[in-house]
Amino acid sequence: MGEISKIENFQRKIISILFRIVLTIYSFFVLINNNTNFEWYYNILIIIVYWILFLSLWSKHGWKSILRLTIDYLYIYLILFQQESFTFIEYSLLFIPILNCQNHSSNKRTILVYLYPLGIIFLITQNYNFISLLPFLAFYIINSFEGIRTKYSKFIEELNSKIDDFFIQTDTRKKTYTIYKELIPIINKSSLFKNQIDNIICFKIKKNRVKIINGSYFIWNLSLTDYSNFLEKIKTINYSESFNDIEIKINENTIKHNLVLIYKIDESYYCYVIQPKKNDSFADLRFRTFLPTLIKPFFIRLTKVFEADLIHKAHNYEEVKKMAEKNTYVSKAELAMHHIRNHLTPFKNIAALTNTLGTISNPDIIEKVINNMKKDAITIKTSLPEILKRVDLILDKPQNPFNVSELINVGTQQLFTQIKNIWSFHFDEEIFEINWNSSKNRKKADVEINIEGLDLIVSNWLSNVEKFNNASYGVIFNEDESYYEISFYNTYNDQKKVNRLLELFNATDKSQVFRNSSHGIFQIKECLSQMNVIGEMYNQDNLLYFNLKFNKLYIL
Amino acid sequence: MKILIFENQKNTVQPSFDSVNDIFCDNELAIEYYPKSQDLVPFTKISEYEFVFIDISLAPNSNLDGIGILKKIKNENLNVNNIIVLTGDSRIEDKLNANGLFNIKTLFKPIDFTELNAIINN
Repeated sequence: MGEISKIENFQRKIISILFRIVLTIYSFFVLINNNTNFEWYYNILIIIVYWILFLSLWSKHGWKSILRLTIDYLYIYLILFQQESFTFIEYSLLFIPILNCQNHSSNKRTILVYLYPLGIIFLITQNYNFISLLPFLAFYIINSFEGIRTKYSKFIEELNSKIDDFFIQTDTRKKTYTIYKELIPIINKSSLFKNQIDNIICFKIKKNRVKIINGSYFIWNLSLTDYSNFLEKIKTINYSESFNDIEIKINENTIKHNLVLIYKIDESYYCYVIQPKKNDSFADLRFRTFLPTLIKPFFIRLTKVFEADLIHKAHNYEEVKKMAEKNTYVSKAELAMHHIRNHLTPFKNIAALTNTLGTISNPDIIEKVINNMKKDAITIKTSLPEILKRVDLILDKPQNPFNVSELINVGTQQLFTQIKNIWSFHFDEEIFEINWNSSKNRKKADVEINIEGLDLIVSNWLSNVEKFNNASYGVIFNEDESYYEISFYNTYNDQKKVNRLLELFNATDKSQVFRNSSHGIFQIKECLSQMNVIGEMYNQDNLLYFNLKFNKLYIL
Repeated sequence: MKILIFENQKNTVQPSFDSVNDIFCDNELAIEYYPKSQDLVPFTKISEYEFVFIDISLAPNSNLDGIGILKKIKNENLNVNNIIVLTGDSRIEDKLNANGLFNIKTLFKPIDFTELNAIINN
């Protein structure tokens, strides 16, 4: 049961009690207003028995709700039976249950609510005044329409609850097609439509290409018999439309009778093929007229979920592609290193021969050694170009998917958000001092960054700050004419470590940094260099500062 | 002395073997290179060699790789005098152990003739 249904049920229960209170008070008023031959305790007893019976049947459904209604009218009859006159005041008592019938808890509203008062009128007056029956007929007609409207609302609400509940369950997010197994029974059990649905299939048309999305059964093949005509039809759609009996071939079976609901989202058309049971035609007028309208909100939501799911899958695919590129690069680099290692034998051998040469005096052996050295030199000459080719493969930066030199222009807002997001991953409290000019009439400028590169730099640094700060830390956002500057600062305990860090960061010899630092500093320096961002690290007033300076690119 | 070498990149080891043969053995070593496992026919001939050097990654069209050859020797209970694995992989011992191959001598590439000589002329 959805949350709204729960609230509604609770309201029904309260209204049910309020209605009986109104009925009791009004009947009390009727009793006072007229002379009655009955003793007062007799009426008190009626009221007590009525309330006991009502409370025992309160919020019960099915035949018990009918019994509850019967007891209401029995009570009214007992009140009216005592009256000497039957004026408008007494007559009005009969309408109270009718006014409450919208609140009736039985799913199928009973006609008894209109028949009982007619019976009471007959029993009391012993004849029918047809004019007095007209209000009941009018109420019956109005309430019947109201009943249909309520059924529609309930139907839509049930669909919406279902889709909400469905996507809250984590395991169903991977199997979105199972939503049809939930949807079809709701439509089929609804008394609103005569036709029964057998299956629902969804396909998408984008750039004139059909893509199967999913269905209540497995679909491996789908084609439209008159595809060009269908395309022409859907091109005129603004947002949503429905068509009947579009001939579609699904898994080699031709489906002639169906209802096709189409929803446009961006440049895509999501088409839901609703198949009737036993391949009947959707001849029922009610089905054709109301079903598309009633289920439209449900399918619009479903379409958005499917579209979001496809976008998510496309992103995942892009990530996998990137990962595959990186994997290929690493494999190629491994192979290249393997190749280089294997081809170093003549180099190593010539070195060993050179060493041996210095330790021997036998001229025959010396000659042999020299001959072998010559042979190795020839081998080296042939294998050297191959070795260099492999070395180039590893060193060639454009081929390296790990490099971050591909830059995009971002505004200060995005740059700030990026830093803020990484910061919030490491620290709970935002200790930011923002001195960036944010006035409307400022001269706007972008900066160039590689998002992955910036993440690597800042994450690497903040991991250190997290580990080594001993009291305070934070970020200052400054700017001057040429740069946006982001300064990370923190206090520290270990002066020696900081000195070493400063020495490594400010070293100009790349290999020294690579050999002597943890991977983090090397990676930070590499990313800064590839992104053309100026990095500065210094120690001032017992605070360690790490500054990033981004070139301002003024927007004309 | 007969030496068998399973190696698909002959030129990566030949200079060192040639140097040993020339300088220390007066060219008396009969060295045979096979890039593929199926080149040795019949395979049982492997017992005739004094030393068998096996590279782990053989030619792609070799029926067996180095590990496969070692397993075949073990499974068929062939009596092979000296088996030495040639490799550039520093984690080879784990790989061999994982395949149930223990106590196998390993020579890491690149190799020079002094290392080879230490094994052959012990």
